[in-house]
Amino acid sequence: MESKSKNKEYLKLAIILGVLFLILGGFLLYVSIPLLSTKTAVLATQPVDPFDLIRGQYIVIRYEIASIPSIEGAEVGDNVYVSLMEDANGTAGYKTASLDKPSKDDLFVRGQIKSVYGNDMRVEYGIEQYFFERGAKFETRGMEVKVKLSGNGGARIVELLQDGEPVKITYENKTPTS
Amino acid sequence: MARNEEVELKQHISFGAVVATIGSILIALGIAWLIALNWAAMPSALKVLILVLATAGAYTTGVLFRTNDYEKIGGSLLVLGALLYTLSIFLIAQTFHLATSLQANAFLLLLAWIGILFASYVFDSSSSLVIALAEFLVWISLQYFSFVELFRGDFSVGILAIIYLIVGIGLYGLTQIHKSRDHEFAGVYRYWTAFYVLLLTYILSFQSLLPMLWPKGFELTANVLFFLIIISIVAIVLAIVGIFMSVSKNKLTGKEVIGFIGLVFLYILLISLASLISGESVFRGSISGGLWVMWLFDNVLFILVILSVIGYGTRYQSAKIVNLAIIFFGLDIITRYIGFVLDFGGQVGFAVMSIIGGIILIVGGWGIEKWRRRLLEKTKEKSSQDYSIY
Repeated sequence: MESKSKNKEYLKLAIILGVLFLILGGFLLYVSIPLLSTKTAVLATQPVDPFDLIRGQYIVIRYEIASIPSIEGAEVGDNVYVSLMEDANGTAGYKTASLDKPSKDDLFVRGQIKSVYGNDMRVEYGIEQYFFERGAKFETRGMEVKVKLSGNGGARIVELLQDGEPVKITYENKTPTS
Repeated sequence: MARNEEVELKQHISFGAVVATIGSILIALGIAWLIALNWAAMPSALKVLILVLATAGAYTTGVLFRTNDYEKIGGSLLVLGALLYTLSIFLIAQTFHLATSLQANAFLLLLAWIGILFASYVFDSSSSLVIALAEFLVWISLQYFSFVELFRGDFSVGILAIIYLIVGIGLYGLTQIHKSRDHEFAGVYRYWTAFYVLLLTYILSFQSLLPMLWPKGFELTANVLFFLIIISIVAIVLAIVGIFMSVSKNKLTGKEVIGFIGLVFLYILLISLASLISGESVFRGSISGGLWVMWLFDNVLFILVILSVIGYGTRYQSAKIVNLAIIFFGLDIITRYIGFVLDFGGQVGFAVMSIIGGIILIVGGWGIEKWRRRLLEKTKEKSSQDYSIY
């Protein structure tokens, strides 16, 4: 191949790597925005554990704030802002819910309404899963989740807690071929 | 160089490319499995960094091979780069414990296929385009399923069939746009157009699916309607532009355009007519005459479409399209065979159907293989003449 054509190919490579890294970088930035925030909440849970073929093993975490009183006019698919109130142990629980964003000083988390049944509605916050290595063992009873909350209520998991301490995860001993 | 030697060299190049592509897919599979294992010993940031560097490495090596006249091997490494880029997105999602809902996965796939499609055009890489279109197929299906899940709407096979029809129209338009410009991607888009048409007809060939096309009391949710309108506009614009571009350069006959439009209207009619048998159950024994007629018509149509696609592939000297049609023919035989076994249940019935079916499949398989070889030979004969590929 001529050197002119080679240079053109290298230029194309630079463009592609630039664009792909821009997409990956933008995605990374988007998902890490809540982690840059200083707002933190500890949420109570009720977990179960499945396996995702594409993404690996994870536990599905059901939060106590997953089921909250319904709001007038709220429909499935709507975003809902759940204001939180911390108890004496520092665990955040449901205070109020609104379709409008609360003031930035409030502690609130943004979720999406999945279903409305009578006076209650089920809400998901995008933090219902925690991935870990296969063969991991840890106590799931009474587990709490420490999350970071962005200015618009977006949440990201920081760590799993047990009695206020990070959950101790042990892994089965594996051989290189196991 | 003698013609035979040329052909032999081409076959070696092609074989090398196939081996390299399999190697690329294997590497990607291995890395995907490592991600699934989610090594706790390795910090998440390091895992992401390794995958991002591997993506850059695959693309860079691919370009180096291409610039050193190993076009096909380079293409295989670009495929590896595309797959690693996709895996990087899923790894980032895993690292940040993002949602595992259908919508979340659809969003990840959207990011993946858009990036790969862009790379395909910049590198003029047909193999990368194949990856982008494969991910697009999964994305568009997942997107519809996620709308159903998210808004608790009714699942309708009819809407899925319409989506595949719309995508087929769009791909046909892209085929014509690229054909008019003598671009090598025309062949890839043509193959995928044939794939969507066959897939759509295959869906319509199931007796049990026809009443599910439009479930009783089905209501179209606003978001699905909006989604359908957007993709329809894009597909129709692509088709109109493509047909005009190809016709103006005398690369498309009016007959083919009429055939294409006729086929689209036939599918719209068939999908719409299925509303007449909405909600019927084929498992309760009694099947209405309407369902029988529709099912028979759809199955005859499926055979005709398979034959038409074979003719289409032969016309454009594409052995890949001919093979695709024959794969769907094999799939049709196996599917109908299983259907008959289920319909004529019972142990004796199963035994008799197994023996008869086995004999039919062996004879049919021999016939198909013979037919396939003859068609491929014909295609090769035509290719060896100095015709334009398109």
